[in-house]
Amino acid sequence: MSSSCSEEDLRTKELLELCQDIVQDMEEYMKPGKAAPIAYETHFLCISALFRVLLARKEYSERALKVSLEAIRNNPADYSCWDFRRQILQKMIGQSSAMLQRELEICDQLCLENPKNYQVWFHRRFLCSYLENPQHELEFTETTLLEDAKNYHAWSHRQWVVDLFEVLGKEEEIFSKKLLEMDFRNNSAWNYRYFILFSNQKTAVHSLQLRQSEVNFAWEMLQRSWRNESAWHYLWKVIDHEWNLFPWITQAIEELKEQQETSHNRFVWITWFHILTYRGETSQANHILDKLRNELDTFHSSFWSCGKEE
Amino acid sequence: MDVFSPFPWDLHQQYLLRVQNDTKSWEYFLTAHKRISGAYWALTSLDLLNSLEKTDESAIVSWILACQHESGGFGGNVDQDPNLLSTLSAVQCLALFHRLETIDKEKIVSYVANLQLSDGSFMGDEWGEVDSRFTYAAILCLSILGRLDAIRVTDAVRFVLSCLNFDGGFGCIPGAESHSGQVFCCVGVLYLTDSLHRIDQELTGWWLAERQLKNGGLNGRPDKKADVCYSWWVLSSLAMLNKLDWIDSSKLIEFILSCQDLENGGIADYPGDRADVFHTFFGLAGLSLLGCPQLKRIHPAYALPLEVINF
Repeated sequence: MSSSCSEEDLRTKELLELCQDIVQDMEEYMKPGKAAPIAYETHFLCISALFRVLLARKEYSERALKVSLEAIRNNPADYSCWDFRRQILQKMIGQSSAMLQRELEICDQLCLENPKNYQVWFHRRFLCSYLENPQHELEFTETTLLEDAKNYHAWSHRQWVVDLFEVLGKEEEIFSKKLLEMDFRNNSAWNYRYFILFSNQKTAVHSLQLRQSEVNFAWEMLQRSWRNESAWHYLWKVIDHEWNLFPWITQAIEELKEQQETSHNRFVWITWFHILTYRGETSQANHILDKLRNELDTFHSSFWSCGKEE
Repeated sequence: MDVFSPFPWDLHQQYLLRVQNDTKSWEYFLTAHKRISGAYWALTSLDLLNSLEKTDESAIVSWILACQHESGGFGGNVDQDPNLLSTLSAVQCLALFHRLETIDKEKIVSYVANLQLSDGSFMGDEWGEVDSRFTYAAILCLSILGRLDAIRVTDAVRFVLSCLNFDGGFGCIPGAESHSGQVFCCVGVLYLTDSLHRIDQELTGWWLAERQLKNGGLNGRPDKKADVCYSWWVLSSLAMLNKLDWIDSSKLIEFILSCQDLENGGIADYPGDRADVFHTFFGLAGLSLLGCPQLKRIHPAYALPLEVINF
């Protein structure tokens, strides 16, 4: 037997002792017919049965809290365990900052062990309603993202926190830059940067100066790789068809399409197509469409067949 | 030449029937809390394979009805609290068996309607989590029941549009990264409410088309790996936008077929990985949209065989 197995057995034994008065009610949930696997592990089935008893009794107590945690550890995706735990916490957590602190620690651990689990991330949002500032959540999402820089839950949670607590844009701009320095193709980081600087009502400050500096930022990233899908999308959106405001970019694109390294890069040519369209140079733009359809981007040939300007 | 080859549809059928009855396995036990969604994936797959009659209809329907609560909502299993996603799965399963006329629809309608918030979004359950997936679940559920009038459709659409991003994709909440699963949900909402004209369909179609990788598979967001489940979410979105030909079908078919378990049946997320019911459903649904002759035709928004939907 491994040592972790006996740890679980020990915890189960402690919980059974704590719940001595209701142990006999467990029997109903441990009958063979009740959808139990043949080769069950005792502690798993015991905890599951104990949880069901407490749930049926609607017992919102300290020991129920302990049992729900063990049930969650056994199956972190089980919705009803989290549900029950929150019902208990709602009754107790407001009066005890120690309990809130402990719950955050527990949630951190479960989150790190189950980083793509919807229930554990939602539990964080539940806990946020008891927090006075977002510090812990910002630190925690950063920890998670340093492990997996594209974790969708972590990014959307951070965004949700920034919105809820009205976190200032400057720190978050620095954060997105930090993640982009680690991986300039990280689409989540590009998206987050756009959210903070341009689309979040509470942090965005619209100015031409900002657009120019962001276009320069995206261009600097593109120079590291001209095939960076996310950086191109960011660039196009910030420019937003106003090519006259960014003459150094249109100049650079005109040159890039002639250079050997980038003369077959579909993104360069798509950008050139947008520029020609903006300038009203329709027949030249149509030539680019043909080039994209037949040569540069044959994978999307159906798309390019639709794009002809009248 | 048959592009849908090899396609051991009988093995897939056997896999699905076997997995349903394998009640003593760990996987079965651990997924008990969301069994009703598992039922939807398995049953719809079997129906696509023209094999629904091989299931025990009355036992399944009784069990589904036992998952319903006083509020009208359904839980993931008989001892689970109600939530929107499980309610949708329950209604979809009942639709498959043509049993919608035998239930109290109004109770379900009122459960769903009560989950709508003032900004038009929907909570997943009483705990209040908001995600554009839940708007899709609500809208689809009520569309199947013919009672879209019971909610504030304009507000719901407004919320979904607020999840539209600069790249043409949609996220789970306003500003969140575009993700294929969320795009499917949002495009589905717009389709079901006749609101597709509110978006730049070319831009969204382009974002979707860009999901196809060199191996033919589709990914969920830029610079991520392909996964069979996106064969459904991306493909059905393109179908709803009338742009199914914007991806290379034959390469995608090749990719999905390469994710099959040719010995035991079932489909995995990626070639060489273990099959599961979730990916089997999405793989089959994708193949159906691509015209596989051994499968019934599936509706891209309802995610049910066409013949199940009454128009």
